[in-house]
Amino acid sequence: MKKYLSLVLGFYLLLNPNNSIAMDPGDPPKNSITISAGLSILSRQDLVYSPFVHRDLSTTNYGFNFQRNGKTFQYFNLGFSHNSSQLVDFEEIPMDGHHHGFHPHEFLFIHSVYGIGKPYKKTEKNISYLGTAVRMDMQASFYSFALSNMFGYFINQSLAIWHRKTHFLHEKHTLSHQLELPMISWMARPPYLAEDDGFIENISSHKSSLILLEFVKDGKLVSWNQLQRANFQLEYRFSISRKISLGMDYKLDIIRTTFPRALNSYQQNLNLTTTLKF
Amino acid sequence: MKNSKYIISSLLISFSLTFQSCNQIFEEVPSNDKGSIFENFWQNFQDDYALFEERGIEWNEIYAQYRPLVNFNTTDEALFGILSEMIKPIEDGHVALMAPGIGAFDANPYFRDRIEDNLFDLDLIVNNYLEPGYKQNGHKFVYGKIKNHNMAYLHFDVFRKESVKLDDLLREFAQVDSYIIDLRHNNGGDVSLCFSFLGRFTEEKKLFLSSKTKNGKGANDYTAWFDWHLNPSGKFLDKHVYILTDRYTVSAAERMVMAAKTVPKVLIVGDTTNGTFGTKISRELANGWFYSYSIQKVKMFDGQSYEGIGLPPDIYVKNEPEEMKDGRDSVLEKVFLQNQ
Repeated sequence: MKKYLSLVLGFYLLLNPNNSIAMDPGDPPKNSITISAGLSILSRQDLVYSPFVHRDLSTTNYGFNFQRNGKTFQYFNLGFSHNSSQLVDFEEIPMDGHHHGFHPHEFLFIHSVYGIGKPYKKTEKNISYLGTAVRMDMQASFYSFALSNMFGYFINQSLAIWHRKTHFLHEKHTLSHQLELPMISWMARPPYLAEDDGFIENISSHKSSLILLEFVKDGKLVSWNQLQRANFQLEYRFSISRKISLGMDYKLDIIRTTFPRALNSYQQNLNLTTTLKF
Repeated sequence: MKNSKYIISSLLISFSLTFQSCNQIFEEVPSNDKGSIFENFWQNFQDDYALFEERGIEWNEIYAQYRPLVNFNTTDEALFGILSEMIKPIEDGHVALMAPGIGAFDANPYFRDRIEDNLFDLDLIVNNYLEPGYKQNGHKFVYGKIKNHNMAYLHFDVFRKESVKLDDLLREFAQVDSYIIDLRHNNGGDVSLCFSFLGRFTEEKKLFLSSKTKNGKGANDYTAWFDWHLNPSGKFLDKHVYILTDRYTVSAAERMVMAAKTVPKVLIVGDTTNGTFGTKISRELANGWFYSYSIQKVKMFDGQSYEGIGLPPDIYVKNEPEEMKDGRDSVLEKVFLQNQ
């Protein structure tokens, strides 16, 4: 971790040597980079593939967050997590007179968010912000059904509004909570029964980038009536020095849509964080 | 103190969200008792299966016949037997049931009972008909030049990118007079992998099939018919292509045969194909079993459905076990005669 932090700091100094050197030691640092890792707890039901709820707790969950708290409050967040799940535990399946290894369903989640907002209320004890954000989600699922495997996706670009409040609990302790709600989204989902001619045509290029583009093109513009989405996060930070703080994040990502069939996904992340302020 | 209260209340809210039962916020999940498993299995076929009409199946009668046999005392083995018997008359090559720990059941009699499975032997072809220097990856693909004939041969077992060496065949054997594409014992996959190959042998865009997919639970809930065309691709090759088929030529392999039938110098040689055309999907049951079925209707360019019938070859030939013992593949030798 120390090596990683040194790399991040070195990278920043390379790009912004003047800022770092010129910063008044009395000013609170405006920028921060947070690295996080922890648990991903998933409950997901996608009727395109299965009527069952697939649940998992995994330790493959990583995040990167850049924040700038100047005249405006800006953040860029990247996240990756992976879960796997199967209804009944077994490792082998019989096929063609042989036993073959069996793999559970896999779920991959990648997201990026850029947000910008302004503080609208400041007191000694807390600051409240309001802003807008652009969120991109790439969620891929690989359903392993032994007789054949099926690929699923939820690709989404949203324009969202968010509210954030940071509480200064103590000289060294802060607690922030933020709620992000999309107003309008471009959502791409597979067809009603996962595959149809359009889907087959889309994958016929056999090139990942083109296939992704075709999936996105087949998406539709949706609002709150067809996609109910919310991202809530709670961040606790403890400053161990002027430049470094440690903390814990809790994030809840809710997706509910009925297009083309119900998808109900509840993903919760519980992460330990290290923040470098500069 | 006030701050501590704030932290504690926030964490409590978060963790209550984390660990609370989510059941109310999901759609109803099928139960894991034998009756519910039967109901879920039957209902999904009722909602999604596209070919009851073509296969001559009265699914409601199947329900009436088998539902009384399932109760709380039904064993896993007995339930597997009942569900297998339900799908047996469908005979669709895409309909199957798999129960880990118990077994697997194919509705298609060819796959289930391996009827005439021994009438194709790839090793026999490799050993007796191919010149040295052929390329092979187990039974995934084999291609090379035929001995004593100016012909190139390719067999692949599924339509996957790593197996379909059609374009490699054209590139590496550009000087031959004709090509043999052996689709016997081909399990299908992605038919679009053959388009660039077949497109070399045609100068016209041709409709080869139309298909429509279930998109709702109603009996008539389908997408509009989607037309699939074969387009010319690359420099035109005025050469013969022989496509070999048998009862294990299935799904995408049969779609390739449909596309090939629109190409002028293609001849289909062998046995009738399996007769399983629609796209397949798979599902899981509450007890961890899996099953699969077809969700599409397909008609060839002539407007006919060959579901459950299969595509007849232009020249009908079947291997005989006795001839195979002598190292002969009659289907392949028929092609040699035809090409003279």
